[in-house]
Amino acid sequence: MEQSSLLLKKQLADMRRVPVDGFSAGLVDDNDIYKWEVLVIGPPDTLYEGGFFKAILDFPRDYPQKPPKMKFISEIWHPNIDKEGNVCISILHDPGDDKWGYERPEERWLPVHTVETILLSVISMLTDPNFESPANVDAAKMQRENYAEFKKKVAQCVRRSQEE
Amino acid sequence: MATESALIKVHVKSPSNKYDVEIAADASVSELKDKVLVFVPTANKEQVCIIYTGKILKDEETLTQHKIADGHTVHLVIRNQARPTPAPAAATPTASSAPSSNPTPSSQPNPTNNPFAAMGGMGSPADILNNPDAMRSVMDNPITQQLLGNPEFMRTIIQSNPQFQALIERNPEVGHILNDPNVMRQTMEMIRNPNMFQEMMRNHDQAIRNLQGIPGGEAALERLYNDVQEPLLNSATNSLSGNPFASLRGDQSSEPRVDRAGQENNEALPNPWASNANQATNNQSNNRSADFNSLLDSPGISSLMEQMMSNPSMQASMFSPEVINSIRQNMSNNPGLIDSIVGQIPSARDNPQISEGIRRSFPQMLNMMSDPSVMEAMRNPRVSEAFRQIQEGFSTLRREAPQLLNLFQAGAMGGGAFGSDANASSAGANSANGLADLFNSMNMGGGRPSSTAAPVNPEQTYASQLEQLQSMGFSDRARNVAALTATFGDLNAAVERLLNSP
Repeated sequence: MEQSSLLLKKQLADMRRVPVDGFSAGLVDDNDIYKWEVLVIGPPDTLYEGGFFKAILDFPRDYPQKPPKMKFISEIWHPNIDKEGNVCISILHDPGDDKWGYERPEERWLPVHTVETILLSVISMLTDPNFESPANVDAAKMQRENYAEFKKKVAQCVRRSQEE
Repeated sequence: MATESALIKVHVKSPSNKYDVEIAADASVSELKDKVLVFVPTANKEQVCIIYTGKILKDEETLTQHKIADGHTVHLVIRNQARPTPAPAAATPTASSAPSSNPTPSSQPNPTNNPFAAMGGMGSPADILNNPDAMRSVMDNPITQQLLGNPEFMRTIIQSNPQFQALIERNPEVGHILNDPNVMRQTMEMIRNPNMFQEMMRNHDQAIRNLQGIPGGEAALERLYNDVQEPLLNSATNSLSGNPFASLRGDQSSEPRVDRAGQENNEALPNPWASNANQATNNQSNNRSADFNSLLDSPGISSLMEQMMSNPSMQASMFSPEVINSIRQNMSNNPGLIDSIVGQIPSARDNPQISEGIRRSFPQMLNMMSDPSVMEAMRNPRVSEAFRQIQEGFSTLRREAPQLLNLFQAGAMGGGAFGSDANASSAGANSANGLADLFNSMNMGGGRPSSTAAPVNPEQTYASQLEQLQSMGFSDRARNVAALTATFGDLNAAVERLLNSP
């Protein structure tokens, strides 16, 4: 069996025993170690507090050389999450140099990252959006220009996530 | 009878706090929420949200279902009460608490304790049992499914039924079956799904037909019949008429009920004694001898051996002095018996030399068997193992080289059935000696490769695997070495092992 699946199995077992604050992770299907189901708990003292946002982590076979893809299934309104739910953070970008020069190589994917470090980054992203490279331009614009509307929109998502 | 299942400790982690909750291992999520509410008095139950492995747990699910075990941590989120809470779902908690509150439903024949009473408007129980459609709809009812999905509860029902209790007391092996949650689940699944039910029945019949076809199948059926079917049917027909829920119903009316499962089974498992007893021409005077007559008549003595090897207690009873003595008496009282045995062996029938050899060796074997030291040897588990290997080798031979088998067949009946005795006493005909050599070489080949394959220095042998384990974050070198040694260097198995051990 490949190293990737062994590594993921270890992470899964660790997480079952000692889960990390702020999210809960498991497999979508017990037979597929490469597809993880994550429930991100809206961080306290943010607009997202009280929400549970479901996401799928899709690991490539050559993990940890390459990063997984993360996609929110629950509707979530955030500058760094595009409208399809794809999460856009630097540590999930393929390793190497950024062709636009925004990100330094050490900010991008590194094989040391685990589900835990990825999710912690995502949670901190929910707390502090990065306006430099918005994936959802409308959300970024709304947050800057019409914060009240932005708040309302996020609250809507939080409410919807609770109903699931 | 364990009505109280073990308590486990579950850590509940909220964004701001951490609580420890003690709860039954098979409790429902709803029960867990009740316990959590003690710590969070401000919240009401609808606001409590338990999350585990990426999923929001639903009230009616159980902890076992999500594999939440002792020491595991679940997340707790209290929803904000911005929106109007929906009307409290009253039905679920009552249903889920039923198993624990009614540990002995049948001891108090009270309609309110009947779990099926919850399903009103279903018609009377007798109607349901007579009508497969109604039965199915009962089985499809979520309340029933929940009840039946709980093996602990099913066990309680069964164990509190006096007929079943008696049955289990007499036949511990049946008790094991009823204690096996998998078997229970399968049975329930089967009842629920008519197609599966029919399929199972068909498979069952087919399997038995196949069994009868292979040499020795009869012997296996006989044992099955004696050990399971007969006591089951006996106890069932006594008063239960095959319906384990009979005593659960408040009314104990004695109207006859149709039980499809019982009847089908009855047909599917033919009573081997019946046919053989008719064939047995003499010695009807003594029950035991009749048994042995038919047993020895069966062409499948070798398969009987197989059965015995896998069942030490049966083996012990087979070789108990009384049994051996009774065989001997039987033999001396009835000289025709050996002839009839020999007549059952095709190659012996055609070859007077072989049949003569068997005839001569039989009394000697029996003498040997009454020797305590031989009996001791027969009970030795390693000897049993050797027997098993012989049997295995033989079946391989049958598969791979049937032409070879014909050569040995006569010896096999004499030597195979009572293998080691034939070898030791050289009582068998000459052909048995060749067979003994063959067995010896087979035993050698199928010996214990594991003992020779043990590496001298595991750290050296598994250096590359050790390195990989290290790189995956398994830092305890001693444990890594132990795991690799135990798995013979299989990295995947070693990781599995390391992860599963705390």
